[in-house]
Amino acid sequence: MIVRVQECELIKKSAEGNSDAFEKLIAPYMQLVINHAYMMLGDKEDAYDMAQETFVKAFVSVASFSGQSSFKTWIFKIATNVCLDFLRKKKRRPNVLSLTTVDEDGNEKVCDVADTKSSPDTISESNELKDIILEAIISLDEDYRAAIVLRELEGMDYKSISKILGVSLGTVKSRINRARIQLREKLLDYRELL
Amino acid sequence: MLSCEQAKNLLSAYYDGELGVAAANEVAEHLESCEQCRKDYEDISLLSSAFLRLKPPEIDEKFKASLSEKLADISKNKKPKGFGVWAMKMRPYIAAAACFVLVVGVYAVVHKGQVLTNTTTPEMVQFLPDENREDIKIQTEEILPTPKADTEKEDAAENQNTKYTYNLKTTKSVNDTAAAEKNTINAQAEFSVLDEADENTLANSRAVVEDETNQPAQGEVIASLPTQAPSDVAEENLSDENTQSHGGGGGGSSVQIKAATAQFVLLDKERLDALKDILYNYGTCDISENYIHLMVLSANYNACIEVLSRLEWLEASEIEAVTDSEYCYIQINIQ
Repeated sequence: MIVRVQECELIKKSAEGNSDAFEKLIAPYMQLVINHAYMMLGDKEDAYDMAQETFVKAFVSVASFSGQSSFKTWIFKIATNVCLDFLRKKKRRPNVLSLTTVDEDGNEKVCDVADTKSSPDTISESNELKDIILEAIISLDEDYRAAIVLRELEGMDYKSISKILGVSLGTVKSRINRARIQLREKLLDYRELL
Repeated sequence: MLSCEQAKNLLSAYYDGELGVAAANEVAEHLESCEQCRKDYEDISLLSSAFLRLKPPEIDEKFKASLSEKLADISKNKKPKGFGVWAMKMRPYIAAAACFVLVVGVYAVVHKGQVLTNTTTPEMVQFLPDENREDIKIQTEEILPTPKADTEKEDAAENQNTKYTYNLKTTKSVNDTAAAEKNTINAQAEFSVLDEADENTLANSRAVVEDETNQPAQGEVIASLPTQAPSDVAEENLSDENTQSHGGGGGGSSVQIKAATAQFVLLDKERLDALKDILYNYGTCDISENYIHLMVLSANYNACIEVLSRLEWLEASEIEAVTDSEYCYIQINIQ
């Protein structure tokens, strides 16, 4: 049994519907799940929402936790699936931003959108680098993203990642390798700053 | 030594410590000599540090309060389903039990015929009352001809060495097994007090051994009900070999086992009745004008031979040792 004894007691009480016990149970994992959701979604508010949804779903289904994996792995499996579901739904409902305006003659014209991204020369120890890094991570394919975030952020081993994602070890190796190759290409210009 | 392409494919796993010892050593060896791959390895390290630069949002009290409220709502609606929790834990055992019941049920349906089918031996048939014998379903499968038997049909009086071949098929189902067994026991009890009337009854109910012109297809044993008096039975075919085919209730494979035989000569015809009385104690008799053929269980063969050998009016001409076959055959020539 991987789950610690104290955790076992909290799981048992949570399965019986005790929300206080469940809050104690998830306390060590709350920040971790928010971090994970933030890396997956790239937005603070979305991260809070998906983290809450993760814990609500976990509370509803805690009775089905069999203990075959660690509770952390089980929670992160729920969190990853919640985030991936959110991303797929978001893809199907793209946000259309209108770039046209109407001038005084009533003619439509395209707005000039200023390029606000700084060049590598001007970027310093600002939040811009973090945004660039986050943007690079968010631009990864969802499956690659999930694998590299679990590895880099949580330090999970490949076996745990394969359980969370429900894929083979070989697939995990491949996804992490490809994610790093793509990230390196995206952040090549900022290599010296990393 | 690894190529650069091979090393690059392994670099990520090497960095994460997910390679085996041998593979890790090979990558390390390659990195010592390849500058480009060393640079790629450094890039992986830089990317890891990039993740550490990111500062995810921290949990605030608003988040905690909101979550607590939601969990409390669920808790109120969530009834502690004791049975549900128990059922979840017992799920694998319940599934296993359901599979077991399914397998047993399928087996019972598939093998229903075989399980409930009883096999009646020729000996049992003769002991059954007339009304029960009608319940017996006799399989009258076609018997393939035995070329050997056809060509070697001889007059038994002229050839003392001819042997009697039985090809019996008995696969019958007796609907009333209990009645059949009871009748068997009763009939056996009657052996000791036979009078002429009983003898005729038994003679008429005796299973008649089929003409062994043909051999059974798959080792099954058939015995037909007597349609005529034993004395009217045609002479059996004789063949050089005594073979006996055995089959299970479901038509198993044929096992040819040579049955033991013995031959006697009745020196005093007036002793025929007494001889019959003795023979009825040991097995199934088939009596004709010139012969008495006795089919006896191998377990009783030696005892029967011993008794017959002690009779002064009976002369033994050939006695074979008992074999592993189920039945043995004794022929008594009536002079």
